[in-house]
Amino acid sequence: MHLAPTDEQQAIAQEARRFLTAQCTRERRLLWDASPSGHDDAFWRDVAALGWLGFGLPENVGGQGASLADLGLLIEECGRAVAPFGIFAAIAGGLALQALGTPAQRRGWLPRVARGETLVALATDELGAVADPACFRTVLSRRGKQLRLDGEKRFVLQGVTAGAFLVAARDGRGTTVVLVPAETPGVSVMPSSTLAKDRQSTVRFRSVALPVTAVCGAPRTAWPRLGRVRRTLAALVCADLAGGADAVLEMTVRYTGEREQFGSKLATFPAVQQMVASMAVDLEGARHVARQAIWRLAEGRPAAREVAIAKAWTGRVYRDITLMAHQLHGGAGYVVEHELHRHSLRAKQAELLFGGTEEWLDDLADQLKLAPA
Amino acid sequence: MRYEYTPEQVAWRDEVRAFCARHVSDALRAEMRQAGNEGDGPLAKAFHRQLFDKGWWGVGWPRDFGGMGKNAVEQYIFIEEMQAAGAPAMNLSITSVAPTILREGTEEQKARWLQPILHGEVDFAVAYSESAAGTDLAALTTKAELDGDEWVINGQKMWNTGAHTATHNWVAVRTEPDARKHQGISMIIIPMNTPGIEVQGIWTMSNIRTNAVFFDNVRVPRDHLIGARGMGFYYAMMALDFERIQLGCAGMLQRLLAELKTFVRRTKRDGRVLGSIPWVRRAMADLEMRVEVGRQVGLLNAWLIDQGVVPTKEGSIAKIYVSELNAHFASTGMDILGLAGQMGADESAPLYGRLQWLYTIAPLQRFGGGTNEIQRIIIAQRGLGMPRK
Repeated sequence: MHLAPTDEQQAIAQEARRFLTAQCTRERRLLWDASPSGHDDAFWRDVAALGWLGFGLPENVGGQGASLADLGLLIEECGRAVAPFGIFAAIAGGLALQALGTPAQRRGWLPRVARGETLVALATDELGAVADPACFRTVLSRRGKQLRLDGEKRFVLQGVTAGAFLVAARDGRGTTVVLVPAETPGVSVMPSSTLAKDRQSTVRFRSVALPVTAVCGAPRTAWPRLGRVRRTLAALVCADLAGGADAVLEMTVRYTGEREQFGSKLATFPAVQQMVASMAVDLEGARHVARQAIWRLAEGRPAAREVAIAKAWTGRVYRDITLMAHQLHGGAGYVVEHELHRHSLRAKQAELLFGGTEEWLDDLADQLKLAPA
Repeated sequence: MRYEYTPEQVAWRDEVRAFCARHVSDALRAEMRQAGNEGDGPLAKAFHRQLFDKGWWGVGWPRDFGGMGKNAVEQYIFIEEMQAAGAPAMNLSITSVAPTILREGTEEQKARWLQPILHGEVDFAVAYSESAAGTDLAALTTKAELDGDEWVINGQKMWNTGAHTATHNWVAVRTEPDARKHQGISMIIIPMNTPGIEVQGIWTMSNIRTNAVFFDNVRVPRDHLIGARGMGFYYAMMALDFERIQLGCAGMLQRLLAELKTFVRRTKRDGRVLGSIPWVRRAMADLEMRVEVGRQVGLLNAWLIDQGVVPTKEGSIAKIYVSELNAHFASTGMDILGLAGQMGADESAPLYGRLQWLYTIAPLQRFGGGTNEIQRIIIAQRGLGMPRK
């Protein structure tokens, strides 16, 4: 047992923290807010040059071959800095293609993903279907050797800058994942406005003709694999949440130590100390259930229970910590000049990503087998 | 980073678990429920003797003094397994008094006290609080004055739980009346059969008996003062740090959760298995999650001790988290049991009435052992560096 990062892992986190602190300045964020991609080209090139976009991908496709546990620590730092969410989207899409794609698809796309030249976006959610593939209304049909894709996917992370989409579609009685380049005729991408102002898209597929080589793995059998990918991404997003919560606690300690009312620093008031300590109590468990879940996935241990616990707890904790931080910052933390709002909006939004708190508690209840099926 | 026990830790856990499976019987658990805190019954005494024989009673003590020399994580594993089996708890002599004697006592004091504690011949109650000195412990006024080679003790202690069954009392007294209030306190051992002691019972909401204890010119030999004069307040705080491995352990909740799962799987209400009712499922999953979080914070506290860190912040976090979870667990569990959840401790009550019992002791766990508000101040000031004034 070793409940802390090793020295090498700490070095990963420290380098990431230094880079993100230097890059994510307030002025630059305001520019990014107004840009279509949510970041700028120079930033993206620098991120790619550090190897982050292929950090968890194997070396034979241009990745760094890092373990999920190391990747989780990198993502904790992205959460701490509320870094542009495109980084998470690119990492998530790369991992999804690595898990689902054919060798040819991986060779064709992942080296460019790792170099930051393109991005593969996972497109599974629909308005009426999230985790039950039988309910997908996106459909793959066949005429001879030609495939045809029709439907609409929502909440596609970083869809606006994606070079290809990994689309889950109903295919007869099964589920098939196809890789669809964004420029294929019949594909249209519309930005959607979201709480945390990240770059999500609605992607529409209208009579999109695809070759059979677009199919990822064996047709009609994608669901269990897709479910596992979703579980892994749910665990990784917990790292973002725990890192973000840590940053909010830090900024709250700092702010209450500076702000004076009634002639005293806020941090000297007992009520304030009690609230800040409560934030620390919740955060401690969140950090470790998140790391535990990711570590178990990295080591190939059974992790269904731990992932469900991590996602339900970190989602709740980050959200609650940001709300308490707003209470302690007052107006100072309510204005867009202050970074707190980025955390509080990201917290609630990320709580919903890959299944919200209540959804994962329901999954956990299933795992407990409390009643005969 | 490694969120898994080492093979040695797994072997230790399995050894403790196997021992508990053999020796913690239903009869022993029934005897413990019956006895409350009116002293150990014959089965509990026999169980303790088995622990002495294996050397497990002093699990965290150095081997030189008859202990096992186990580190903090191994102690955590031991406590978790004992709690999960519903075994008799480690007492304060072992977890609180002895570690202080080990650290601060003279060689003569160690030789004199540790073996009898280890063999259960000496059993301590702990007397810190007074009616006007609770959370502000350093305000205590019970005094000890040196008269020749004896300390003469006068005053009154409150919440001196176990004083009516203990052989000895571990008492915080003021020995340096002219020193500043935190620096004038010492720890003295008083045998309970010394003349001049009066013990008055006080009964609490959880049926646990505690006591008010009066000292009227009680005389003990000079070498009953342990460690340095004037350091008693700091020893008391240190002893609480030792206790937090135990207070921050969610082993008992793991046991109750397992029993609750069995109950909802087997029990029907209005024709439906409880475990199929949506709100019951939701509540059970929530408890499963919270107990796992508690396990993580408790383990972290123990692990940091083994890294040579004094986990002031993490110890307080574990104490707060687990004590507040106890209250939440008891209330939610009783919601699930319905009116059967408020039945007293009898054999027909679900989970032997343990949840309504937990409901009554949960407030004590939050304000006892250093109130949770004090723990939060410790986290804020010592853990996060927030200012004192």
